[in-house]
Amino acid sequence: MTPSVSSVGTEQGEYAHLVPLQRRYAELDPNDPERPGLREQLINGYLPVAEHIARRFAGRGEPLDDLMQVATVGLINAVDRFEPGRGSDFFSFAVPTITGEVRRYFRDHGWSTRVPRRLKDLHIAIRSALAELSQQLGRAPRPSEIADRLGLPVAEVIEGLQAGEAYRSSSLDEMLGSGEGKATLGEFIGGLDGELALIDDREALRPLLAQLPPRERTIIALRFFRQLTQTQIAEQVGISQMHVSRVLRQTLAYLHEQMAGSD
Amino acid sequence: MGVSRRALYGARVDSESPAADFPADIIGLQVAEHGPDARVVTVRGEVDTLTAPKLASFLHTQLSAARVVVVDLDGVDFLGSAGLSALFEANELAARERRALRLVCHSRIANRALEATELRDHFTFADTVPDALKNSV
Amino acid sequence: MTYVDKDYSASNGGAGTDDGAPQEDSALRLELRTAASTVVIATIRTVAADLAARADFDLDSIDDLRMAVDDLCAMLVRIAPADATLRCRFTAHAEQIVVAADVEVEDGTEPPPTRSFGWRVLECLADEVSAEALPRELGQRGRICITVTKNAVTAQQP
Repeated sequence: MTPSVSSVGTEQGEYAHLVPLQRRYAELDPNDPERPGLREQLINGYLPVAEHIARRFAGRGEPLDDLMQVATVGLINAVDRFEPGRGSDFFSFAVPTITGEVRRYFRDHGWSTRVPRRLKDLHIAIRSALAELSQQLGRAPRPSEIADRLGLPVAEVIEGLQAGEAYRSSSLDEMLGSGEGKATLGEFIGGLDGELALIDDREALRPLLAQLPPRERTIIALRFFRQLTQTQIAEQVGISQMHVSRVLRQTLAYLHEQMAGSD
Repeated sequence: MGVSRRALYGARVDSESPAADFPADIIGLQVAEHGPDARVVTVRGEVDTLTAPKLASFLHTQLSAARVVVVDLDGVDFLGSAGLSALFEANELAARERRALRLVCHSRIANRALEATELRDHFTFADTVPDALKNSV
Repeated sequence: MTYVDKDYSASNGGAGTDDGAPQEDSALRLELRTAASTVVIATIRTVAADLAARADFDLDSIDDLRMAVDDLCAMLVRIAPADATLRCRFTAHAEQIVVAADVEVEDGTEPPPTRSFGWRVLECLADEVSAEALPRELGQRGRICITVTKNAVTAQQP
């Protein structure tokens, strides 16, 4: 699988002129008067990236305009937090940061906005039928019993029961990056992380990942399959961002070494 | 176009609010302080092998900082044995350290997990978060 | 993740069978093979719950099976070596689902301890649980298998 990033662009291509600006921006003293102007240039320059990501999340019940604004917030965060010295390129950092911001927006807007009205109503109807039937039967009802009570096909009841999970399982697809999830993950991977993109044989990668100590494995999974930033991982795992960065570097080096050895 | 957006969000950019930054699609943990001695932890999402360690350490932190910790499990939609174990251990820790751990739980799935495993009786429940805080002082 | 065998669908029943009428008693089988890794467990337990819902299990039993499958996968992943494959075979009978999951293991690996917290939870959730070491076949590693049986209806505890 060769992931394509052409639709986002690459640092070598249409965004090449921004790379030196980015480097300069990161080097400047926080109070340097040159910074605000550079920041503006960078944000405007990379804006198409944010828009591209926003479009990918369109059609899930949120207006595209809102998504673009949220993605822009992600982009601004990325511009401000990127550290060129860390060895990865801006895209590797920005794509997950922007994606994370959009995801968070969806999550914070809660279940109600990402589930269609019909399913939401269904869910409420099921909840009330569930309470009544549990009382009457002295046990939890079966889907068919709920369907009878509501006069609906069983398939619809099952759909309603699962409605709350629907959004989550689609994000699971993305995080798994195997089988059915391949397409979604593939979409990300080019821009996702230069380091991991070098490893294009994901099948061979999998057993190596499984062999890592639990903490290393978790950090790798959070970084590459769940697209969290190092700061976010640090919060989750309860260690410093510096430490996360070190673990990632060492673990990636190890994985590369092992992959090279296995050919 | 970029400029106006930037202006729109300017306030948020520089603030790194940790509460807003919780990232996971799978589990969400938030804490609110209620006076110096009580904290309310809100758990959302799936508590399983992957996410339970996070919950465990989170509860540990809150229990070392406050006398009363209320855990709101209403938004939980999976609670596996790793998650149950994390709650159970937090509960034991609370008992040892003479802290109060109270659960508020209207999640069907979480309640089922606590019932089926017969762990329910080990915990103290309150009907609502305000109730849990009221009885605690 | 590979769906090795997926013959659960309404295709054999033709039109009009998705109205909740119990399917004829031919058991329906589904097998999943994945890398033995914690990240796939969420997907496997979702498949289990979906299967139970379609088999018209009561809602508690659906949840119990979801948790049981989560638990047994976690146990197997814990004892599996790096490159192991986790295999989950689901058999849905009219009123019962049997899940047999196994992983390849290194020689000398013991089945998960039955006194652990996880095992106790498993016993609470399922109607029957057992673990066994499957003998090595020629040129292959041994396997450890956990089998869980769950009935469609769970009596409510007093």
